[in-house]
Amino acid sequence: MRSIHVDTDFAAFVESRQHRLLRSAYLVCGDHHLAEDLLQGALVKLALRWNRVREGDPEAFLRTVMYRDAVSWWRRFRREDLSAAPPDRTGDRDDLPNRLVFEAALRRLPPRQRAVLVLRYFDDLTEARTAEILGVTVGTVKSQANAALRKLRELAPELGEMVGKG
Amino acid sequence: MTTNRLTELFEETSAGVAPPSLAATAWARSRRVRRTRQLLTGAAVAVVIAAVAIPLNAGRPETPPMLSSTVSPSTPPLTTVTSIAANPSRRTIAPLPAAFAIPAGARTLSEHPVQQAVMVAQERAGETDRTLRPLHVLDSAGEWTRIDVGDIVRTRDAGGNEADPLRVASLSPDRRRVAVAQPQALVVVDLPTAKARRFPVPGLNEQVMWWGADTVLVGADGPGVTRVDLATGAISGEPAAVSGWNSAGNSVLGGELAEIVKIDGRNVLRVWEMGSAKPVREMPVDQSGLPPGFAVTEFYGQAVPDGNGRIAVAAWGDRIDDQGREFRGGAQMLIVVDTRNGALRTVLDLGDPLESPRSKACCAVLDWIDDQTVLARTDLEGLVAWTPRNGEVVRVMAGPVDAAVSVRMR
Repeated sequence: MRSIHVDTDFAAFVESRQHRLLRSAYLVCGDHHLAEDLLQGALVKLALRWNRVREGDPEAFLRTVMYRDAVSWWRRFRREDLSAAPPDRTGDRDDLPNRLVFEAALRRLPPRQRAVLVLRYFDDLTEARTAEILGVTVGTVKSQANAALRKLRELAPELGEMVGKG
Repeated sequence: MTTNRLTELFEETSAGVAPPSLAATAWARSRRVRRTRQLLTGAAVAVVIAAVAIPLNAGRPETPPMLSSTVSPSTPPLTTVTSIAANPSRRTIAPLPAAFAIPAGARTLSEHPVQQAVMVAQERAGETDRTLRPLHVLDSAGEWTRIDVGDIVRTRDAGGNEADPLRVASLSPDRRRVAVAQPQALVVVDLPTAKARRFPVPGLNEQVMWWGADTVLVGADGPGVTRVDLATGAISGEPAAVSGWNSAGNSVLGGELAEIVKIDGRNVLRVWEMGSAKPVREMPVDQSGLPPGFAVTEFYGQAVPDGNGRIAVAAWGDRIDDQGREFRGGAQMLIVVDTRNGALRTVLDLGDPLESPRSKACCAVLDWIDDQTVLARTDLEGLVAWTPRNGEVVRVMAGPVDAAVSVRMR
């Protein structure tokens, strides 16, 4: 492959943000390949607009594109993975690490609710910034976050003390 | 404690994600995108494209054609794999325009009823302006008309996720009506009269497909559809658990509905007859005919039937090129599947993921132009016509087609 000249500011910006953003993408979509595709797609859009965006807030642009693509991609192309047997809800899960229980429960949330939780509690953004990125109102962020936490507690009662109680 | 612990769980869950190195690839892709846009813009202005008109059939067959007797269900043929050229040749197919561009001031349906449409399109909302874009129809004369009746809104699911309502299978078999799922309703726009009918279909409906001339199947989240008989207005639950996410219906009344679904991680072909709660056929998708190095991981989008026992559908998976380079999960494909035995008949490999990177779920099968040719939307080319028999691919509409589209060519 021919070597190409990459804008040094762009390269430095991506280098400093890409790992954290890829982790965010993974938390929202739950798939390593898709997470990388999402981030890569957002980076391409950023590169196309770099001259205009670089002086503003490129991280906000990147995050907005990535999260909206994550939600809309899932909406457009999600498929049901039908299971012949329902998931085991009665088995003893005491031996499972909390991380695995949490991840399994997270996967069962609607994508926008996942996105709200990741933006709030992993990216550490305010409700207002979360609303801006997702293109919804602050009220929607509040209600989606509450619904997500309530659902997590239902799906994984053993996490109750950690996700929203007390 | 609570939010801190939640943050810790997120940190632990994503701790295994390896650091990527994406800057150079993203920059290179952006340069290619910019170059392609420049070429397309130039081409739209300056290039005279030889037009080869393929006349539209006057009507659709009332009964499905007989199945070919030359294919034995017990001996699935080897799968033929061909690759798309880096720059497919062009051919226009009347009345599709050479490039996708809906005019801003298109006339309105209420003032200019349309006798018969070929395409319905709904441009996607922009990144900043999320306003719902109107539906437009392209008629048999090549004119665009904006649908200004029906009060159509976005669909949404229980989680509040919204989506534009136009689907691949929205345009009716007679090309005179457009069906869109709506929350708690089905809306059918009659193009010749410019009237919209709203049927009360319970649920957060998201998918539609036609089954014959006057029946619309409306799907919500997951398998199962509601049947709406437009002639009588009857609305009833359909016993067949077909999914509007996976099947594009059947233009023939009584015709089978085929879909590919994931069951316990396996791709399974299911064929339904309406009114029956059990599929008439269900079998794993047979990939044994693929050449070494190829595998299909995921089929996505609605599978479009040809009326002769085949469906065409988009997919992604693995491939290995002639230099031995492996692309795990990065290969995009269009595939024709035999619904009688589940075998992959023909695969169109959509190119080198490094030289021509495509977005995941880049493509959608739209229609069979005739019994030999598949019409599909692809992210890099626009609309292409693919002839599985000989692997020929021609670009029939220059993109990008950043829109949901529904097309009926015959």
